[in-house]
Amino acid sequence: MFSTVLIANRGEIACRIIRACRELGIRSVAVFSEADRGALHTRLADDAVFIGPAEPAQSYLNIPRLLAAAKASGAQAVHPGYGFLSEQAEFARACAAAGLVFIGPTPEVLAAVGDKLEARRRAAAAGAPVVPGSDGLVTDAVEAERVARTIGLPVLLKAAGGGGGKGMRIVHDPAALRDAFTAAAGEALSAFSDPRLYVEKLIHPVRHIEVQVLADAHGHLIHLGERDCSVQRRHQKLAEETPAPHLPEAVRSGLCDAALKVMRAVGYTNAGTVEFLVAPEGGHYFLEVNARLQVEHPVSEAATGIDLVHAQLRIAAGEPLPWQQGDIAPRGAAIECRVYAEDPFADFAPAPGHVVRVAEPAGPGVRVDSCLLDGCAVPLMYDPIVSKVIVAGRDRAEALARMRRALAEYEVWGIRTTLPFTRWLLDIEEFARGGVTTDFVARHWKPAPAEAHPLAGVAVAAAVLAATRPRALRAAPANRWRAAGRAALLRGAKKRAARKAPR
Amino acid sequence: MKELLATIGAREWAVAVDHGGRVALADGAAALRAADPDGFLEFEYAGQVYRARAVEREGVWYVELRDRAFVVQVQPAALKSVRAAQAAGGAQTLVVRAPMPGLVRGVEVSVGDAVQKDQVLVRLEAMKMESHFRAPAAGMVTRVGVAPGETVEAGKVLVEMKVSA
Repeated sequence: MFSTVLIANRGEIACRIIRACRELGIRSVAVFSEADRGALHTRLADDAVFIGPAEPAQSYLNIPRLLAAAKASGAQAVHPGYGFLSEQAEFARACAAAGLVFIGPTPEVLAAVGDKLEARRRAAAAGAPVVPGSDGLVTDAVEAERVARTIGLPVLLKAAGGGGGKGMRIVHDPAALRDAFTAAAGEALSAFSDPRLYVEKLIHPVRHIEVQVLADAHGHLIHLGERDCSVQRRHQKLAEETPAPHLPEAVRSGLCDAALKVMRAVGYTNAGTVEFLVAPEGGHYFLEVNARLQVEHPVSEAATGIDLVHAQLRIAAGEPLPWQQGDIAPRGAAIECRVYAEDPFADFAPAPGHVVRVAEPAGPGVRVDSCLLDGCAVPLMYDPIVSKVIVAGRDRAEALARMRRALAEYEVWGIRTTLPFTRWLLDIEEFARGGVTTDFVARHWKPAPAEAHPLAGVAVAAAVLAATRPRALRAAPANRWRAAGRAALLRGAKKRAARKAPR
Repeated sequence: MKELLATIGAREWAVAVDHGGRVALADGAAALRAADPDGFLEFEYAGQVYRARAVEREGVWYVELRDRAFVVQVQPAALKSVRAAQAAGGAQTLVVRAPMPGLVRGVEVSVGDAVQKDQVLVRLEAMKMESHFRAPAAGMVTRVGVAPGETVEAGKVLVEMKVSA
């Protein structure tokens, strides 16, 4: 096993990995940018190395600086977390060249599954069902139309080089295909410097279900069951759970088998996830491989009792997986709600800023993976995810009740978060019944404007009380040192002015 | 006794504050119990105790209360008639503020520019998302409050403009 591991990430996931390192007796080294001085991950780690300016390209995405930090701190391995460089074959290669173990799959696997078309091809070859589509690039709108007529409308035009909804167009009408093709190719070119497109049938409405896989370097693979990630907005997941509610057992085992087939075929090692689209009538299709630790991994940990980050570290150190598939027995139900620094009442606009005070939930069956502290900054340069609440229960009803209780305890003051959205979600009958599709949030979340809120009058009272309160109860300036310094300067300036003034 | 006018969005509240600091609205009265330097307040309103946080930025109050954040403008009631007169005279001033912190990626207008409704005034970036702030009406830019590359707080005035008649 490694004695020192560098965590090339920040935020809640860096904290999560540092905790696993400590449990295994591994010295952890955090890295931080200018914007993350004093951040929780730098305090939890055994060591923390400064790697540059807030701009990600100059710090968390800067391979030479990360490698220099690893070398200086004596690390033998690098954990990339999620996001940033976690799925970059180039980073995995650079780690190897520097004599460091990259905790994840090989660069070859990262390159293969990172190319959406290549991943689709390999999944189909391995016998996994894929969404009907063009089985390759379409060079122009004429060819796209031919494919669309064969597989049937509506179709989705997708960028081969990217993701995140960019360079993607839904086409319902063959007449609209030409314009959509031009627009999608242009968007893909500007976003990914790659205008290549392919065509897939649009599956709608649909559930988004994924399978967690662990694979060691000795050819042994197991799955840890599925996670239902259908509560999304604009392709961003908001809540996840296991088991997927009301999923027929035949479909569930079909997904798990397909996931193992795909991962075996690509030669996957370490922890990874295979994502599927599942139609309400049970049809299921391979979507993509996420070649990293997922944000929602704690859901599987809660159900299986397996620590996925421990497993990642052990696999990377060359140890064989100590479990057979039969040893994995998920129990009860687990749910995760993500907390983003976003304003759910302003179309989920980013909401960075300063957290003034935090009260996190605790109690039976509750886990909080967070990077929030009283007075901490949520920098505007990085991903908005700041915390996750994970609960486990004997069954889904108990888990839901526990989540409702935990969310009611959660207080974050100073920044807007998605907590109000999540509390609303838990009270919606359709979600409580289970098995929602990915259009659920768009269909149901229509908050009233602030002035129509039942507490608007109370808020007015608060504002007027604050505005008219006695001076002794006024809020202090944000930075008292700076204010004191400025006051001293002003006093000096006044004195100088007084001296110069003619009497 | 002070007469104030508070607004959230398009809704207005007439508020009276007495010499003891009691705040009276149409449907209840509020009295402050405690406040601290971080902006936290504890107060009683219509017989119930509330905990909230209120901070001021460039003349606007940001109130956090339970699950919601409110942007409250508080001004002397006497100003209302002035504003009404301005609106009638076609000289209404509009203030476009940053609803949340961000990095100014672009300022698309200068003082004196005539702008159309929905024309982009300022582009802000935060957390890898770019947001465009547009003119709420046609008019003329009278003040630009930010410069490209600047980091702004929520509530920062981006642009002030006079609405054309």
